[in-house]
Amino acid sequence: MHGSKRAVLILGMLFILLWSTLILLLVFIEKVILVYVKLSLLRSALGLLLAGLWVYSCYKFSRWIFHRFLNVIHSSH
Amino acid sequence: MYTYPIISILISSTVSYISMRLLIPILRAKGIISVDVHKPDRPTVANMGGISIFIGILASYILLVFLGVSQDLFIKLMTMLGVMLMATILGFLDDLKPIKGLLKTFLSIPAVLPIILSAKFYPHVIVIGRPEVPIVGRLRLTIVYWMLLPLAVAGPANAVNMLEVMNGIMPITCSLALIPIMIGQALLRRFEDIVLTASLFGALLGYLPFNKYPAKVFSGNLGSLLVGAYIGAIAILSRIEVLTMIALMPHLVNAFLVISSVGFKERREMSERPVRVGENGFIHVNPSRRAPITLVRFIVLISGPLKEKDIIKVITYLQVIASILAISTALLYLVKI
Repeated sequence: MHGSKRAVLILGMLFILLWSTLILLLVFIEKVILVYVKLSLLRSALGLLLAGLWVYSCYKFSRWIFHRFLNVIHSSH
Repeated sequence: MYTYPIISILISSTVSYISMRLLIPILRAKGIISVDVHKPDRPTVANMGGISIFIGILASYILLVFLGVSQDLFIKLMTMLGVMLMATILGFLDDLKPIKGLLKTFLSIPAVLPIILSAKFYPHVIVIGRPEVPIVGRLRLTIVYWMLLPLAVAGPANAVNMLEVMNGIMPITCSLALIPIMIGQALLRRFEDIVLTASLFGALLGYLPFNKYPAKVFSGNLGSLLVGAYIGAIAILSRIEVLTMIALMPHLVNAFLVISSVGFKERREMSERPVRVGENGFIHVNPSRRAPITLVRFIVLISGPLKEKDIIKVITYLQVIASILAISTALLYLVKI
């Protein structure tokens, strides 16, 4: 496959993954946590924790993909 | 309903185009130039072209006020003008004397103040908080929203600034990002706010011919901070923060990758470059594990060496994907569970 097309495909899939998980996360926070957790402070803490976990997972996942490609370069040298 | 947005686009694009045409020789004569580092012959290019974007938006605002806008829209125009001025001044100072990355991020936080002040004095016009989210409607963020508000303008401003690394990237990606924003505003019936977005959209269209590959002018920090701050301010005023975040995904992913790899360092402060330019004009990935991770480095790592023009194409396609996702988000506003 042409290099630039491969870059669009892989990074495009990453964008779609980020988008879909973000929407799912927002729906989960609003429809589950904000409905079933009664204590206001706990709701805020849980919501922030989940959002933080999402950001951390995005960070780890994008770095993991990056380093997989970087390892290919290092192993070919 | 759509007369003012169309007038805004026509005026801001025309004024931005004409002012840029007149400004390029002046900027070059004054020695306001930068080196285009991604070309093998490293040509010099006029800098601070972002000033024409500012002039274009300002011209459309003046005409709108002259035509007689509603009081609500007038308040919003003045609020946006405040945000624009603060971001432009910061960018201008950064272009004159480079400001360190973390300090620049910190200094861009006050650009949100005009919105907070307007919301305080005109709460019936500008409502802060309760962002619209697809499927679930308005989020109930009372404490968290105020905690994140300082980043709502500073975040996009610095993210747009960080991705402006190649010819035409900023006007292309930002104008494509503004399309779903306008669709979202229309679907949420925020018709007055479309005028604000249309002014920037037109100014970017007028500026693009001079910044596209091979660039005759760079926007400078002035232009990228202004455009990013403006988009962030629109998101707050229209309460479409989530949609805007998705529309700016290439910028945010790039900023996230850079900050997570080297912190808030500026390009000029980095000891290792993310990419290297070969003599034949091909851009190669820097294989060092200590080099910053950027979107451009990620692209070249996946694809192999590419010419600058091809990298610009890849980023444009990625922005198209982000804009389609943002349009899907806007359509999901109509779905409620």
